[in-house]
Amino acid sequence: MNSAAAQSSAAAQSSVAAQTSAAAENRASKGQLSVKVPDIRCAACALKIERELIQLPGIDQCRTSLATKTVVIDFDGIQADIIFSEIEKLGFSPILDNNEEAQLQLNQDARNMLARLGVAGIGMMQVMMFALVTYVSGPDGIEPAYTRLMQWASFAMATPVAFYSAAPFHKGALSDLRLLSPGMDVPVSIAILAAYFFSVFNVLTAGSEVYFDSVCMFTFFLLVGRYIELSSRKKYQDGVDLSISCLPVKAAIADTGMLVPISDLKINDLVRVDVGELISADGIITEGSTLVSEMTFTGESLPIEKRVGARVLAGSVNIESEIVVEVSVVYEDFVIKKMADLYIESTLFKPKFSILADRIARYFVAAILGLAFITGLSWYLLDSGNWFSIALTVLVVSCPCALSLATPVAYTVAVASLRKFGVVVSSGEFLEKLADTSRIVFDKTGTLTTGDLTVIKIVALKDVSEEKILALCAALEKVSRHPIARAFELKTDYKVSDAEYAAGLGVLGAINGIHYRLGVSEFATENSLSPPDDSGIWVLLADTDPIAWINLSDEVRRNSASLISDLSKRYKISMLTGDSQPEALRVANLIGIESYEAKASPEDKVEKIKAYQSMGDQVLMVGDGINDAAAMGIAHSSVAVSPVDIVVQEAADATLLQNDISRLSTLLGFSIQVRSVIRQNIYWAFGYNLCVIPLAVSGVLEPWMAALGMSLSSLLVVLNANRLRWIGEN
Amino acid sequence: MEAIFFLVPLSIGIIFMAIIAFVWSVHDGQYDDMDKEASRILLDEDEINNSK
Repeated sequence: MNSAAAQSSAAAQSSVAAQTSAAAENRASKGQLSVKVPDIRCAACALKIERELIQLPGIDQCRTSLATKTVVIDFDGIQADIIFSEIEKLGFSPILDNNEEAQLQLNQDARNMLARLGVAGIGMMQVMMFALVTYVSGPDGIEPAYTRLMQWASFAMATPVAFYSAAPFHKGALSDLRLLSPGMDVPVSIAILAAYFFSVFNVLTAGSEVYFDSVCMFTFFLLVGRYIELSSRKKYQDGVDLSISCLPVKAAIADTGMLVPISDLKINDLVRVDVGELISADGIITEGSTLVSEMTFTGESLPIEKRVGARVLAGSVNIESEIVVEVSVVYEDFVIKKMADLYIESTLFKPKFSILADRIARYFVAAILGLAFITGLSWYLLDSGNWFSIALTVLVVSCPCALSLATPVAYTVAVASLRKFGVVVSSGEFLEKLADTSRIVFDKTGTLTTGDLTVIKIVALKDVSEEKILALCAALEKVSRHPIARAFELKTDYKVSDAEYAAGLGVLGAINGIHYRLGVSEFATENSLSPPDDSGIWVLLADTDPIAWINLSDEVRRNSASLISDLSKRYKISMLTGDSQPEALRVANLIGIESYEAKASPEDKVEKIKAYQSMGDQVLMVGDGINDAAAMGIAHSSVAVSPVDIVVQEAADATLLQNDISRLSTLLGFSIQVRSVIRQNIYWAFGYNLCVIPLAVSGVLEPWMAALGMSLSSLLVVLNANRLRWIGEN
Repeated sequence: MEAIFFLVPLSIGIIFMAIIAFVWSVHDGQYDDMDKEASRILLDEDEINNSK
């Protein structure tokens, strides 16, 4: 019987093993395997894996990438799980890459693009060299035989460029034409092919004009622009893919210990996270306190202390001790997942400003084709030998490539920078609205203040020293988990017996035989006493008689005052709080806010924001709690500072993941920078096209000048957008 | 100067070989990860094998 049981348990185990490696075994014993190894930290790790794996029989090729922390293995005659265990033996923890196909596709795209770019570059250099011979030959020219040789040589070098390197443009143009919506690829493709075939015709018929140099330069510079765009996309995707594929596959349910796939987790499930593990769900800690590293989100490697009630994000690392997390959103709504989807959203987003530019660009393409045709025809009728080169120049020079790149490139770079900066944005629209802000409305508690209570005043009613009062309180509060207890955290030698915590009222216990009570006045003493004034929170310490009033208040954030003094130069600042008037005044004075409203309910906050809006202000609401959510919804834009509740994050347009309000100033500055970069790009692209077209039509420009000008103009737009890569550093 | 009629086509032939080699190396993944390759020369192979 024992053996039967052992057998069945062995069978169960092997079926589990089979399940976990099922995905790997699907690939049989031959094929390609892509494995994420998150603990590849340096080139030495990467090379070590490569060197050791390649020695295994059955592994044909093995490539590790330090940038994406991926190992790609070509194998024949070895099981995938053996490869896994070999990587594990080397001291790494491999994860099956679940986003493998998308990843390989993007890799393939990047390789194709690089190959095309390289071929265009080599071709361009050679053709320019051959063309130079005819440029520098002077008025007398060189012998026709040499000219013909150079033409044939350029022909040979330009052919792969026109068909292999420029293939994406031709493909794009074809599908554009099939959909009857001519995009940017149509004039590009027509220009390349027309210049190429016209030159080929001249080579074959011993004509004089060839434009192979223009073909190559045009293709090369356009590809440079596309390659830069693709690599910035790939870099972003790599980062996101890495963090998503590093999420644990399964989560442990707290009471049963059962393992559940994280995509099946439901709201309010309790999951257990062991020390050193990745947190498996977005949620609130309900048991235990620990240190958590949120490097994935904030780029900050120092771990942050999290206690009961704190919010944790899936994908961050639990460092210090075991915790239980109550799941607050389903898998699709995890912040880490949202960040992955954000890229796609942000590239699709069009600010109003660029919607106009796009609409114009669409007519532009049709207009260019017409213009090029009419120009060519007119010059032909005027009996000019240059009619073709002029028409070609018009086609190339008026191509609104830079215009079409202006906005998407800027947003792509901006969103990637924001992600590194620890800001999750719900839509690209946010950046546009944020740049228009004229008034900033702050919530007080938890936003301008830390939300952590501290003792600010003690009013002794008996002759007892303040130190003793604080020590007594600290000893009594040891049993309590209420936020108030954290205000009294200090070392004390007092021993408390019969300690008891009364929810919502206070604590009681005996120290050296004397019974003490600490809490609201009704709880601490039978005679109801009213506190000395109505600022902050007052608690009463009493034995048989009242001993002391203790005034608690939350601390103003270290950098709130400097933030406000900085922002008030550019914006109108207001503070709304539900707290009492004296408390609001105290904080307002400390921070330097002139306009504030105390005792504001969530409804009052909404009304107040509406009032500001009717005065013509563009309002940015900054808050952290549920009581701010409604106000955030009504404001033009809103930022949540490290919120605990998911509701708040949903309501806000953007979330500062790091609990550091000084980043708000940088964020505001950045939004203005993004807007100005986009405007510069659009103005530049439009201005360039409008100025240069008359020159081209009048036949002043050569085709190669047009190609260079257009490509440099696109490049300028891309480089200008790349200024957004450095957020908050200048 | 007649040599040029031989040398130019020859150079084009060599360039085409270079292009093919380049395209092959790109598709072989040799440009996928510049970071690792950059530091390969700094690592002592014996050291890694000994620490095994």
